[in-house]
Amino acid sequence: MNSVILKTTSKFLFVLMLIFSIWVLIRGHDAPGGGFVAGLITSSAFSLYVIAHGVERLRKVVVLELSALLCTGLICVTVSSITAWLKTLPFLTACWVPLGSFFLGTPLLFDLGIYLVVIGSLLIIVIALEEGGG
Amino acid sequence: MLVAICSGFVLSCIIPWLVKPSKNRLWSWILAILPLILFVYFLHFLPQVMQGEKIFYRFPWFEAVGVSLSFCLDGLSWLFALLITGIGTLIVIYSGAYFGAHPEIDRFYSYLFIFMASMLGLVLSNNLIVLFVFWELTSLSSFLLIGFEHQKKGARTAAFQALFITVAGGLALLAGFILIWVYTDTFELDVLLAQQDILRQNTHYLAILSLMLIGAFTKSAQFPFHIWLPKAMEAPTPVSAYLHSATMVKAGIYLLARMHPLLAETTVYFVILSSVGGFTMLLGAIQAIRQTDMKALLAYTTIMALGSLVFLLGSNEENSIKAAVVFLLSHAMYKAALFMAVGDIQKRTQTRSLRKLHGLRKAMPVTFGIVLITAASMSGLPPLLGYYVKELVYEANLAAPIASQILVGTVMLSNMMLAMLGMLLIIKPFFGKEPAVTVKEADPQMWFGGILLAVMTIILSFIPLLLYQVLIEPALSIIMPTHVHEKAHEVSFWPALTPSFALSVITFFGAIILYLSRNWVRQGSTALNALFSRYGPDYLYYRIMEGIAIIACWQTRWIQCGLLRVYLGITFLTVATVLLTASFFYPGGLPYITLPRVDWISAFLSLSVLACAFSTLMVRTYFSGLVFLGLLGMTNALIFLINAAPDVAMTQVLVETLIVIIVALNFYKQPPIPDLEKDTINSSLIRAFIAVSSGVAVTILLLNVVQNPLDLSVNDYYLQNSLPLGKGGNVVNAILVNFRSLDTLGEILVVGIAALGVYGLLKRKSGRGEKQS
Repeated sequence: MNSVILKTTSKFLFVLMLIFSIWVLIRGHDAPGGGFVAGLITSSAFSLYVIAHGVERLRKVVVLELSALLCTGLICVTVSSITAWLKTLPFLTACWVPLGSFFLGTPLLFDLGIYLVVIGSLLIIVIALEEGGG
Repeated sequence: MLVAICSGFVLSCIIPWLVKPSKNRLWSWILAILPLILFVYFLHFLPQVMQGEKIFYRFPWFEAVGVSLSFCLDGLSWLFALLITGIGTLIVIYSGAYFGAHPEIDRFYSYLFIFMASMLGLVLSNNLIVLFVFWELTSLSSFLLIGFEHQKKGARTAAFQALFITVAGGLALLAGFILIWVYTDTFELDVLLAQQDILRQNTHYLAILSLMLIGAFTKSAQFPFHIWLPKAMEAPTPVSAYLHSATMVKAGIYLLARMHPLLAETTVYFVILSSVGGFTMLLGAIQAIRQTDMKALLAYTTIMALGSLVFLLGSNEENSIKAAVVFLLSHAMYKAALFMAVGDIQKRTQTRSLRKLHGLRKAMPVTFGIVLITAASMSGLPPLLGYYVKELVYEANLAAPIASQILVGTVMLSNMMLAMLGMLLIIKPFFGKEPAVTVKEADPQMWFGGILLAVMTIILSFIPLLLYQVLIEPALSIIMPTHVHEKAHEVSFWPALTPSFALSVITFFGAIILYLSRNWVRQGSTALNALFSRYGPDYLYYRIMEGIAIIACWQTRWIQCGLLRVYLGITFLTVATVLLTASFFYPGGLPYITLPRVDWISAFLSLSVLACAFSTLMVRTYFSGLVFLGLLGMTNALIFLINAAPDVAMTQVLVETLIVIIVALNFYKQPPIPDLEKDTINSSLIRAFIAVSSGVAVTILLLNVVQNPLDLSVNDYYLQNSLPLGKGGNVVNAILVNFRSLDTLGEILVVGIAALGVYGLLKRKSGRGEKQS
């Protein structure tokens, strides 16, 4: 779409939305948010960017291959599920590591995995549509 | 023991990274180290197995349904394990030379190791369900192996037929196992074997028996399921040597042997096995005679051998079972060697046809030696193993209580034909005039395995006591626990003057006569075969396949017509019907409608939703409809927000936005879609009906839910435990990624797959677009 206003504003909005999505991802543990929502926000950001600037620019911005995003997400999810096996616990048991008063654990990795999968999937769909299939 | 079995699987996963086609030969020697290690590992259990000990390994898995990973190494499984790993080693070495620098050789080794590991798991398994899992794994891996040359249509069809038949048998087997569980409450074989008569005295013995026999017969190529085995000769020769002579087809035999204490020794068992086995035996022999391709000949003789094994296992005589075990061993050895020899000949002379081969005796002396020894074992010439088997069989059948003449006659006839075929294999390719083109001896790596097996045959024939005590006796005492231990039994392979010797002599002369008149015999066999191919099981199989395809086409044409609105209409109509009928039968009765007291903002939002919905109906273009639908979704999100569900509200807002964007992109980029004015009254009425009924159904459902007392115990559990167990304050997130993470795992997998599907659909370069009215 050849709109100057859209092009300019989308650049700023894009960055803002990405920062926002990461914030939502991290705060999801204790307040409304989480992996799904953050992924959707990122996808909206990318859709806005793609409508304004076109697919080639978007591919340059998203340096990684889309399938790499999808697969990294699935790997995160799988790794977080099977770490329980190291402690001979059943599949998908959550394992926590205390850091002071803060806990790091496999559900966080799981959430990150969800985030990446959602971004990857929606980007694949949007880019396929934008490139004009059929 | 678990490590031993899983090592094959692990190795098969890493092979693709290791093996390069150019270094095939080197890698075949390296990879053969694993089966060799396993062979030695199993061998070191020799003293314990000879004492009759059983070595168990258990790992709890699904205790709730009685499935645990339990394995048991006893005489029978030990014999099989040695065969699997020993011959496996030789086959891996052989494949190195057979394939040369085949580009997909890494895949071949992977499949081969998966197969070997599955077969090991099958024979070692002590739990019926675990046995079934490995059974199916062997079917799958043999499918992959048979269809290895997947460019050839013949290979693909053969692989599919093998898979279809063995998997169908596998289903019957599973049904049989579950029946056993229903009546004995256990899947563990050692528990079952401790109470021997438990299955025989069961009222459902016949059902269990028939199901298990179907499973065993499909795998071991008995009539009428034998049709997949000759076609499986499309597989490369190493595959045939391993799967279709030494191991996979023996899985059914193993099952019969293993369940022998539980199921055998009834008349019906004897009758079924003897008749099916005997018929298969004769059938295989007759079909084998008319073959000119050596590999096909060996395939049919394998069917013969399997038939005789089934035949032998059906009887209650100790000699029969003894013969079965020895025959198992000798057949595995000679068949594998013969297949390998045929591969040698094919590699050097580019042909397998008996008509074209002659005079290779001087050119390929080693191969000639291998074939001489192993085919002689096949024919049953003294003093080799085969002769011992035949003697035992004759003794057993002479002493059989029922119909001994028929049994002896059947066995004699098939033995004659088998001996004739052995002679054919020895004489035809190797004697006669020298070949026109100079032929070299096969690669040493290729005859290495064959020579080893031939030498083993000779050793075992000349040291029968070794054979007996070490290999046969332990297996025998597993199959027939009531068998009397005969430690100092004088076992001799040399002819002695007994009635069975007379029968053997008759057989031998009969074979010579058959050989000399082989053209006559061939014509007779071809005539019989013509009859079979018109009305036989192969024909039936093809008709069944065609029938399935026809029904599938008809059904697909009817239901899947390609129009999205039809799919949606059917889906919604079905949901509405199900919900409405369920709510009529619901004991709580139909709900009543009351007007609840709401605050003004909820009322406002609900009215906005209604307004959006009406506007969607009224608009004239799809794009405006889309906008109003989006607005409807956003208003829904506000309703969620008002009712203290911020996560859901956020998700709804974003999903709505993305839906509008994606559908709008679709509108712009896809071929133009028809306008709304083109609808007729009829289609509008149908759609109105579907919409209204769905709406009413969902409303009734929701009213029912709201008006019934609410059970909040699950809610309370999550609210209380979110912070201590889930270590997070956001209950919704804790449920998603922690408490119910398995569901979420499934959901994101689906999201990923959907994305790939959309990508695939959109990237197809054909001109078809989906009609989206």
